Amino acid sequence: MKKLVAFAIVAMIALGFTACGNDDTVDLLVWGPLGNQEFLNIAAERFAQMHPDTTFNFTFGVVGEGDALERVLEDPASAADIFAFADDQLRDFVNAGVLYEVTRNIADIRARNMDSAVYIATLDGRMWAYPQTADNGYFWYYDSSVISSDDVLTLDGIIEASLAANRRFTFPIDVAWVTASWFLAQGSLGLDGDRQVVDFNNAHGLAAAHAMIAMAESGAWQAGWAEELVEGIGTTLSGGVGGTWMAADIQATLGENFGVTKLPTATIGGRQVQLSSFMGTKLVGVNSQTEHPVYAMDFADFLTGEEMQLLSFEMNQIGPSNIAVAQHPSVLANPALAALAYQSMYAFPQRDVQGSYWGPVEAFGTHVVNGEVNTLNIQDLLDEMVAQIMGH
Amino acid sequence: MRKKVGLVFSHVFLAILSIVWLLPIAWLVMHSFREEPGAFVSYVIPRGFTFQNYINLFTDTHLFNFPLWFWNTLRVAIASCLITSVLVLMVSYVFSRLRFTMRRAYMNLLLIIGMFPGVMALVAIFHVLNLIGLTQSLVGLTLVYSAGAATGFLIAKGFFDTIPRSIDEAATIDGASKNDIFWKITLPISRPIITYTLIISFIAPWGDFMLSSILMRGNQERFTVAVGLRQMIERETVSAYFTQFCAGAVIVAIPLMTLFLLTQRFYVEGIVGGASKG
Amino acid sequence: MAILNFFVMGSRCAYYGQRAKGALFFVAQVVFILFMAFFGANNLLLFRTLGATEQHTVWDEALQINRVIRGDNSMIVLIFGVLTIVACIAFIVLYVMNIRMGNKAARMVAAGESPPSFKEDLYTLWHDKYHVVLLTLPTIGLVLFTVIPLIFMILMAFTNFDRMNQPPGRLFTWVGLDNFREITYANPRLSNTFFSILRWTLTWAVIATFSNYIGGMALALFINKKGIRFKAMWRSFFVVTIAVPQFVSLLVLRQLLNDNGTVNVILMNYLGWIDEPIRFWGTHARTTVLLANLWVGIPFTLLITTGILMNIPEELYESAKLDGAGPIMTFRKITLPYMLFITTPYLISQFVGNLNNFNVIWLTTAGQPLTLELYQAGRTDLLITWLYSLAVNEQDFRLAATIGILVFIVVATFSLISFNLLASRKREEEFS
Repeated sequence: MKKLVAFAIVAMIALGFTACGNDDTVDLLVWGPLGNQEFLNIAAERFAQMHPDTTFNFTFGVVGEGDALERVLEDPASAADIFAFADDQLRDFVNAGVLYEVTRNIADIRARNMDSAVYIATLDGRMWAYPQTADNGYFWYYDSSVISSDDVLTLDGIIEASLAANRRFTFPIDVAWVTASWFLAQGSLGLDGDRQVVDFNNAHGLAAAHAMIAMAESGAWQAGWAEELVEGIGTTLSGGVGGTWMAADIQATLGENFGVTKLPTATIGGRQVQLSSFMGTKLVGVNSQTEHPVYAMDFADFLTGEEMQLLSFEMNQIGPSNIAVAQHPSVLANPALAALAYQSMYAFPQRDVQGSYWGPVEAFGTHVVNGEVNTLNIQDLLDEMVAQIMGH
Repeated sequence: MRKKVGLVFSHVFLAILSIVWLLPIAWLVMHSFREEPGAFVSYVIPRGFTFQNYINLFTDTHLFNFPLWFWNTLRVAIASCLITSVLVLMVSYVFSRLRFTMRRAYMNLLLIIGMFPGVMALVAIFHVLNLIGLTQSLVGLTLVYSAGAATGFLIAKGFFDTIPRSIDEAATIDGASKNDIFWKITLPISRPIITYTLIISFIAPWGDFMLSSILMRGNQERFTVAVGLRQMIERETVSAYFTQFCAGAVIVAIPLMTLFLLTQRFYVEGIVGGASKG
Repeated sequence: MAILNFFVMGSRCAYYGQRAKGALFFVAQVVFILFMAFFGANNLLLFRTLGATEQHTVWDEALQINRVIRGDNSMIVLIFGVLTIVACIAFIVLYVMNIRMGNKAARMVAAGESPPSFKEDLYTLWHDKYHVVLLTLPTIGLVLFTVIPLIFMILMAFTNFDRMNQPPGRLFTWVGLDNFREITYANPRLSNTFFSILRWTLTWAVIATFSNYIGGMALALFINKKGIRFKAMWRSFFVVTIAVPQFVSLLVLRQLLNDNGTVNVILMNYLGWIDEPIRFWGTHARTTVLLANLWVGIPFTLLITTGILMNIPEELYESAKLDGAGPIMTFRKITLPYMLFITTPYLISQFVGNLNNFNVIWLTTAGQPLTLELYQAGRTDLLITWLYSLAVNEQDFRLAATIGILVFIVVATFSLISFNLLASRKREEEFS
């Protein structure tokens, strides 16, 4: 009797499985940020048209590039087959074994993308993700009626011109992403195994910190980040640090006074030093737990290819990582992307940043903003910051 | 005369306090009518006023499907507030009225369970739901909202403690079972505490985004207002959609506010009855 | 027959005429065996080490892919292991019941009585054991969605689950008490931060609870004063704030108090009282979050205390008046003791809530301003928000879970003592 029941249940379960298994449509779940949903839909349609002999069933989910790691790791098995993420999560994704190595069509993928983007998607000689954009960075916006194109080259020039016009500028030194400009100008950031290694407490770092404080005390500096800049530029602000996503708003406010370029040089340790920055790309990854690795890879390949990157630029002004698209006249004519490309010559790949970096650097920047850093404690604070970045 | 001056001052004082409390709400309402786009602006009075933000919220559903999210949340809130209330009332009644071994131990256990910091447990909740196939589902969300109800028995139990036992005894003599007593005698005279539990459990789903964003895994069709509205103020969309976000928040607040003002009296009685006898 | 009952559940009950009960036991046994065969046994096996096979890859020349061969996922193993253990415990309880009921039926038959029929059992359930009926459903819900997740979280504190041992690519395993050692003394950077945040968490809970309580009560008394007009209107002004979801109202509050937020703009441009903006969220952010919490909490206290004030028996005041007591005396001798007596449970649950007040901190400051005096934490971080950032930003799940347990120990000790000491609680039998 017992056996019979058990058998009946096993049979039912088996039947259930085969019923699902016989389906030959390819189910693919794709995650991307909200603003990209329409774009993803178009990509899926075109991709399906290219493969008329296969039935695809695409589903889309709203998961921003910044949340991808958290959302995927909660349960990789039920996460998207293809998802977009920010490059500083790459190492964690690879460590967690969530990404399928990029192998199909790899020569073409390497060739068609900028070297910097390929470098970012590659770890230990293996490529793990498909570069989709090269626009995750920051540079300098300014009101050209106040700041001349010569003034904007040096921070000292910006300070002088702002003071003369009774304006201020924003430079969010308590946003760890941006604070890096100062420390990376002459410093380095790397990895020892999985440990973040930085040298921000050496003589260069000390000089950078002093220069940062000097800027904060210049009288022309104001705390604040995106919201403050977008709102104040043209009235109370002469300019500030910003990213591509603010370009449309700022251009609308400033009109023909719209100015945008790389970050300025700053006087650090008595000489002019070009401020650095983080440079990131958004990547598309294929989930290692996917049922359809081949289709997922081919879709990711198509999604990040020339055709779709051009469309992405046309729809959302997203900066391309594809070399051909970057040379497209309308892309070249985009001033914010040009400024970003200019700044990228001095930038550090964000891929090598570990989770432990952000907190301590923000903490140091906050101490500066709060006026709590002085010649007595500055070295101790830098030492503590570096120690915390390197782990607990 | 001195008394009159004192009274005037009292009213002025109250008015100032009210302004402090109402300022954020007023700000929210004002900027939900703001005509010019942009995220947080530092000026107080918007430069232009418009109804467009509200209209867009319900018509421009292409990117943010607010009506759907509102409808989702409403259903979850109604269902979970009904289930929660029944469960809470059942548990509280048991602890207040019935005597059995391990009663005190079980009560303490429930209290302890209710004190655990829950943020870390969310992932596990997801997996339990996944096992029974209820992720990305409003039913699953409702289940989780109502399942923990038992730990919140304290206040309702206190209320039941205040209902005289003699009522039960009389009913028992008339042949009523414990079941009859609970449903037909105790519940009808417990309106305040029922209102209280209903309101408390109705409010929760409108504000929660941590649990529902984990459960829904990016499935827009199943978003609740809290998850959806938070999408509006992501860095890429905040400057275009901030005023709509305000409008959405105002619309969410309207049903809650109405409910609150309508039932204020019961709400007060419910807590007092409960708290007075612990 | 008695021996068969050890193997086939329900057989003894059925043998003595309790067929329905016997059948139920039998079904439970079959379900359990199936569960263990297809799901449970494997979980328990893996649970000992939290997984054995690691995910690896095999090159597939035809498809040109490095095919991923899935291994065990330690996190899933942990959760399913907990699930299986809970199922086993439930089964053991049933099993013991089966033996006992079988024995009881046998005894009754031997004594010449007939064992209760299923109908009679149901009747007992509906009357003498009605608590079982009412508690079953809530308990199942609680076990599934609260207890199992909590056990999972607790067990995580005894593993090395962090960024370096992240499933599905890598396995994590048991490490005993290492994490507790690390947090409490072995790693000074962590333990200093832990104790420093613990101090602030306690301070916050005490101040937040009492300031809300006193503030709300004072406001209620004030509105209740003789001569104040439009009492209901004033009350509504405050209560209305509860209706706006906290993630909205706290966001607005945060922005209003920003350096260039509306409050500073009003103070600087409209009123001209200050020249430089007040940095509410700067070094003094702790004060600001306490104030923000007042904004959130006072309306609740107002609601509750208003009701109580109205309930104070009028005779008490009249007799006090006859004794010649002034208003302050009346407040001290009548109003305050009466309020305290009634609202102590509320006060304690507020205190517990504030120790774990994730929302108010997370939605206003998210722990900021960060400081290098603490490890990866800010001045306003409570233990609960600190553990959340450790988990989310650094995937340091083991430490987060450990802190969670420590928080729980603090909260539980405090509140169990006070709940059980509570005078009014001891009088719960008063009405029986």
